[in-house]
Amino acid sequence: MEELLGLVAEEVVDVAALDVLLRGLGEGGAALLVELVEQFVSEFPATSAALRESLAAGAFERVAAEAHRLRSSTGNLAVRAMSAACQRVEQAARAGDLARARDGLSALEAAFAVASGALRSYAASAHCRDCTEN
Amino acid sequence: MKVVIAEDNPIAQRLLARTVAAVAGHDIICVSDGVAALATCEAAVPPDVLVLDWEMPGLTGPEVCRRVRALPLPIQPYLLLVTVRNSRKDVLAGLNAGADDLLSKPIAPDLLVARLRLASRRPGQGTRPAEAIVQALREAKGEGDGELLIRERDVSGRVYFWRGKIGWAQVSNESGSLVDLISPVSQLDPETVRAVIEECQASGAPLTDVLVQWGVLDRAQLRTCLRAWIQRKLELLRGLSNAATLFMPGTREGAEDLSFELDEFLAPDPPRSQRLSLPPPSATSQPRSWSEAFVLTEVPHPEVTALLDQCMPISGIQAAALVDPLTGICLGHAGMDLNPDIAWAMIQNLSVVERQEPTESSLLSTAQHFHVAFGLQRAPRAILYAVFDRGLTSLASAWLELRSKALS
Repeated sequence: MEELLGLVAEEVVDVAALDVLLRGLGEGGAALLVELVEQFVSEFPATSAALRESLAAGAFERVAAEAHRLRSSTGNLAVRAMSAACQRVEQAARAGDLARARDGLSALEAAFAVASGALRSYAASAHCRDCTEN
Repeated sequence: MKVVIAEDNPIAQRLLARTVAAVAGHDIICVSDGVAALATCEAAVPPDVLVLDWEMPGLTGPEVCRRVRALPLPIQPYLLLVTVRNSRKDVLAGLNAGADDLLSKPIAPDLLVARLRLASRRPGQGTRPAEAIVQALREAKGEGDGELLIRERDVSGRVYFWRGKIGWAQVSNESGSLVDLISPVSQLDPETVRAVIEECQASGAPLTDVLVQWGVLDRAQLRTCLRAWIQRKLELLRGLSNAATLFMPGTREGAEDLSFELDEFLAPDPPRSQRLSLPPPSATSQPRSWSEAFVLTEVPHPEVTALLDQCMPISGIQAAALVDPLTGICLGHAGMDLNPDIAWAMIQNLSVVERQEPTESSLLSTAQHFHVAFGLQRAPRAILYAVFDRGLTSLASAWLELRSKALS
């Protein structure tokens, strides 16, 4: 599966962790993964916009909570770079550090740009493999 | 086991639910905040396991743990916190809040499954207390001769078996006397009571023999008295909520006509015709719970359980129930608590027979849920009702998937 992802994507997405997740999901897991990746990819722009809006309003508590919540998704989908960025945003927000939170959010969006394609490729490949095998 | 997954992140929630669903035999309820998680423990049938996200709206995972531990539940559930926090301090804080264990996010499915296995091995898990006593009685019956000891805190009971039948039962905190024993058929004056007891003590003869020999009762009357006595003791013992049981084999005296089959004391469900039918919502002014609105079948039929097990993995499903609309009996229920009034409306809509065009299904969208009900093809009187999370599925998908189960 790893050869399907580019070098940059490999730094963003933990393919080995995705493999473990996929095995744990059992039969039909790839189809679920496709759904979840699509859900994640389609929801992220709104989440990101909400984070920017909350930051602009100085609503640090809301930013921290939302970053934490997003980190749960990125963690489950093994998007390491996004999880790290979420953590930066969350910690900065808790500290009331606007500049550091903005930097973290930019890093988060940059990581998403790479991760979305990598996740979709991974999930689609896994699904194809499932379809072929069954 | 009944497993509650409390996770506000929908992706994480679905992954957790999927992992739990991959292990057969679990009813899964998904909630998105701590308040809803706690509410599941206050339901008529609390969960066996709660998988709790640490940070959730409403109440945090550790706060839910603290509050669940303070509830007077007959069997405390297994509490598993899932969190990105993995410092020693956080682990200790989670355990001190009452969690049985913590798992780091992202959750490794195999570790979660291992924790579920651990939870299922805890004493009392998967069976309700009353069922646990009945199960112990059934096992004791299979042993033949001996006594079943039942103890909960300072209350202890003994049920004596002779050739697989029950010959006697007693409960330590019950003030039972000879007068109580024979009261269903006869009245004894204090002098006779004292004389009978003295005779038993002096001769070593069983009480029952003395009563018959002295002409206080005949054996048929004695049987009636014994049956009522044992019935009462067993009812008391079945009411113990978290008792430990132990069977001690041993030989004892007994008589065929003064011993009883266990099943005589385990009353079967009353005939359906005697059950009250489900009252409409307007009949009650107070909000009702599911169990107040529907008569719950204590032990669902295996086919009902199998059908509900087939339904619960459907994407987005939160709960499913099988209901007989004519009697108001809930034949089986899996998943979260259901709103009985919505269910009533859905079910009644399908049950109206004076309809020009037969109705196959009822559909309803509320702010958070899709409600779908179908008549079952294989059991025309039963109606399958399910609730889906609107955020996790579409109405069409929910309808199609449930329909395939109802018509299969």
